[in-house]
Amino acid sequence: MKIPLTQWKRTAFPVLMTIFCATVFFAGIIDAADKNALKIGFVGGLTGKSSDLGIQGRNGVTLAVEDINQQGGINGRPVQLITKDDKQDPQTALKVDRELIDEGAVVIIGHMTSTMTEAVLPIINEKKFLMLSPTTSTNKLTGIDDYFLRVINPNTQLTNFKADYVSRNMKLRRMATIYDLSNRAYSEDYAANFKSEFEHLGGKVIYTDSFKAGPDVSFKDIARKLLKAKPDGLLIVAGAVNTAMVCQHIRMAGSKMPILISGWAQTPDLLRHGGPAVEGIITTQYIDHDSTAKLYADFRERYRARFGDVEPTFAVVMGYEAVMVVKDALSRNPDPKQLKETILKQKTFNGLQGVFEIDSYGDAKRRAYIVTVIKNRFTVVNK
Amino acid sequence: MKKHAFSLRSILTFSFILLGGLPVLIMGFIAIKSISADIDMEVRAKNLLIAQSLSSEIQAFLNDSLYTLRLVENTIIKKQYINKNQINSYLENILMVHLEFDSVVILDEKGTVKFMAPYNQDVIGMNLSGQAFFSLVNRQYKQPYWSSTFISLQTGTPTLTLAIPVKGGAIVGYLNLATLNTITDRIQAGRLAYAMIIDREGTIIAHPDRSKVSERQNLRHLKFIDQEKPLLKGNITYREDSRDYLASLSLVPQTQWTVIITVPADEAFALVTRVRTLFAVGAAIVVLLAVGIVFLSLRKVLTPLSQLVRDVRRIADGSYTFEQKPSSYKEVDELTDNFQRMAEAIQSREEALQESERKFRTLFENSRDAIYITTKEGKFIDFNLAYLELFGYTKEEILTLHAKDTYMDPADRDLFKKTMEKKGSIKDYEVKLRRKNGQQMDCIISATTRYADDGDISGYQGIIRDITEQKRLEEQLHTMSLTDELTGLYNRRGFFTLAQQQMKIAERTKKDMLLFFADLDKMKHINDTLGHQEGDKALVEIATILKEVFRESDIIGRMGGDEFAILAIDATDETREVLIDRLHNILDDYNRPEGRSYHLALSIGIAHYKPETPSTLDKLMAQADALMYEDKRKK
Repeated sequence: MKIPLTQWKRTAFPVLMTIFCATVFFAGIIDAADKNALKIGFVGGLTGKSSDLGIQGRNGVTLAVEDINQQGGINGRPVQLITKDDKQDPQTALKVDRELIDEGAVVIIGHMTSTMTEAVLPIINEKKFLMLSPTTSTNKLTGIDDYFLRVINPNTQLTNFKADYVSRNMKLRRMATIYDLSNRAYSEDYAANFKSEFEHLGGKVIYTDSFKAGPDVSFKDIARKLLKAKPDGLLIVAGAVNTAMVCQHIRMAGSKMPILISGWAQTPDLLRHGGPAVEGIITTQYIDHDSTAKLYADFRERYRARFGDVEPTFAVVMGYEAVMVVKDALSRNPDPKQLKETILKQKTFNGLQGVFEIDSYGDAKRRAYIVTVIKNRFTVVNK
Repeated sequence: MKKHAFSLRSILTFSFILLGGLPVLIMGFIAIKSISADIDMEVRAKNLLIAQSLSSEIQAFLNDSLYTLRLVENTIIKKQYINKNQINSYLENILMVHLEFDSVVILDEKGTVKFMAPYNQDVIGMNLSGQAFFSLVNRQYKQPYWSSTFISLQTGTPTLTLAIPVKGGAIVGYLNLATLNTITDRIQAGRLAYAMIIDREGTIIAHPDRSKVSERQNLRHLKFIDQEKPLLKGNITYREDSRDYLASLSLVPQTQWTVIITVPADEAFALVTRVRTLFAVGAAIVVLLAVGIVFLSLRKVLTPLSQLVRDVRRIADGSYTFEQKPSSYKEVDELTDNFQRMAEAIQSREEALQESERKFRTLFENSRDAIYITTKEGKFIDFNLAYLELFGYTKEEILTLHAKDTYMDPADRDLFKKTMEKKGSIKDYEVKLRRKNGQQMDCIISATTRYADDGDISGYQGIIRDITEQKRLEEQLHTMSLTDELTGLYNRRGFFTLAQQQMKIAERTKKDMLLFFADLDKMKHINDTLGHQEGDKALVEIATILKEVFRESDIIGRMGGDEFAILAIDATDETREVLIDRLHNILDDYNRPEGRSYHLALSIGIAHYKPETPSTLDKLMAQADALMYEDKRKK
């Protein structure tokens, strides 16, 4: 017999109610996975000898995401961080970026080195997928309207700043440069920019050498050849460990000449492996490790509590601020598809140590400092 | 009708399901809770034991490593067994035997690398005083120092250093963390359980997922680490990547590492999950079963009941059809049957009522008598066509009329009411009523009183017959008699009235007629000898005979005394002979019996009316009378 619809309705009500009660009952025991989470991807070199930059960046990003989630997420949605290791290998970088896009990340925070960023740029632009790099500073990507944005200045600012400092303040005239080809996009560019500005200011780069980081590199030979050229000073563009190695050998050879390093090497590993050999080296930086700005002091405390008794580095700060830029933008306009436009429209952001800008090409503008190492600590010279 | 929030169906269905499902749910809940607690305790106890044994193993490993460096110290520094030139190769040999060391370095008091294995000329002479192990081992501890992990310059993999202060410097061993992994990998504590080690900073140094080690992931946020008060052993739960974990911790005192045996809670509680699933399925089956039973049972009860409710509603609305019902429980069936019988009874009664109403309505409407119903106050409620015709009003006019308006004397209406109040009903109550045109009518009313439910008089209903004409005829008939009382034939007036009428008809229809004039012979003799009684009897016999001889349509009359006249309609000369013969034959039949006191005989004269030569009745009568006398003379 056909039961009329109304009867079904009347019977369906208690049945559904019972099923509902049972569901609630069991749901109380079963935990449902959070499908609402907003996914943010991070990519950097997390393994290998030059992994410190990537790991610092990852730590900064991690702390940012944890801070955001503790404050209730973005627009009420919790943030899920997916981290990937590009192993400093272009193929791996492409692979993990695709993975992040496929896994539904709304943005990639990365890469940490310019070479990796350059390697993945075509696919990022093709997919119109926003990549916000904490530390990619190659000048090759400056002034281009694409899907690559960064919270760091193009390195010309720093190289110009360095060149100016060494020629005006230190009165150096004959410089040597050495750079690591394993992050060529960054290092070669960096060395060339420095040379250009330094020579523009009347100096001369009399010696240039390069190496590709690996077990076969003999830093002893590199130092010996370099010292033969008798430069007034040296600029090393390499990762922390390799920079430390070069410094060790320069000092072992008895030279006390001024050494300039790049931001790439500004991690605790430099101090650890450099020891006395890195005392007094000079670099430029966007952060002041001794800053007493409240935002930064609180951040520093949280960071040390979270990752052990270590100082946050510029890579940590940049990673942290990159996530905060994304958070700001998404709070203004929750549509991830318009993230790039929202960021570019906002233009100014509150960094941990003050305001910085991101221009219409996605390049940041921040204040820079001259930093040196005193008693195994990075210390700002020109406050 | 009162609106109920829940139907019987809802309540019963809910109750059934609750009755079936609730015990299962409660039992399931209790069982799951108690099993969960048991498993939780068991897993934790087991894992803690594993963590502790692992911790002991790692302590042994660290002690072995320390022992190795002490051996080196003893051999090279204290006893100086080894020639300076051969120290590097001695160290190489140590590495070959003690695979846990990636490298061994001997530093001088400034932190400069003096000897090392594997030998690397780039590193010899380098200053490692920036490394934590050097500053700490020399300045503070004078004790073995276990570093936190870092990326080895040589291998590029996470490494930690064990440093011991020695005379004139320090000996540093770079310990390969892979060794820790070989220890932790042996742990089998369930399918998804695994062992990991974190250093005092919270960085993972051993983990089945090697990338976590090589990426130097830090678990400090999980609050394992409390540098003020390291947890020696214990159980905690933590949440990572939306997954809960049960972790059992044990501290390695030398290095303040924490050995963690961790198992995803859902894995640890796999049995619970299974039991829960089982109960969920069980509960679902019970609920489904309950729903099934509810459906079968309720359908059996409620469908006929709902049907019944609908049927009753339909009956209330005036339709008496009962649908064919599926059989249900006895009580419901009985209820249904009784309702059905009730409905049938109501239906047949109503039909009878309707039939009766129809009948009476027909009677009412078709009656030649005027029938009406009024209220007590005299307002007309109902009336038939005859009433309207009688009074000459239209329907609309009647409805605005007062009953008094229909009386010649309105006071008669009050009289009528008074009578009705007293008697309740009246019969053939004579009253003079008034037509619309003011004409008076003699009427008789038969009426009854209508009572309201409370017993009060609500109105009257009655039948009115107009007897005005009847009264007039009564009077007329009284003065005008057409029949002869003795014989039942027409008397002289009757005969002439009808015959004259017939003459007119015959004239029009051109029909022949015969007028018979008959006289009973010897009437005087019968009267005189036998008495008037016998004479009357003879006259009656003659009348009977005449009725026998002539047709019914013929007009037969007794003209007075012993004279009779018959007008035979549509009769010719041939008919005359037949009639005469028949008359004589019947007379003979009457006279034949023996012992009759008198003899019947008639003298007859016949006049023929021919349409072609019309004549008056009087002429015909005179002609027939003359012929009759002639006949009598001949006798």
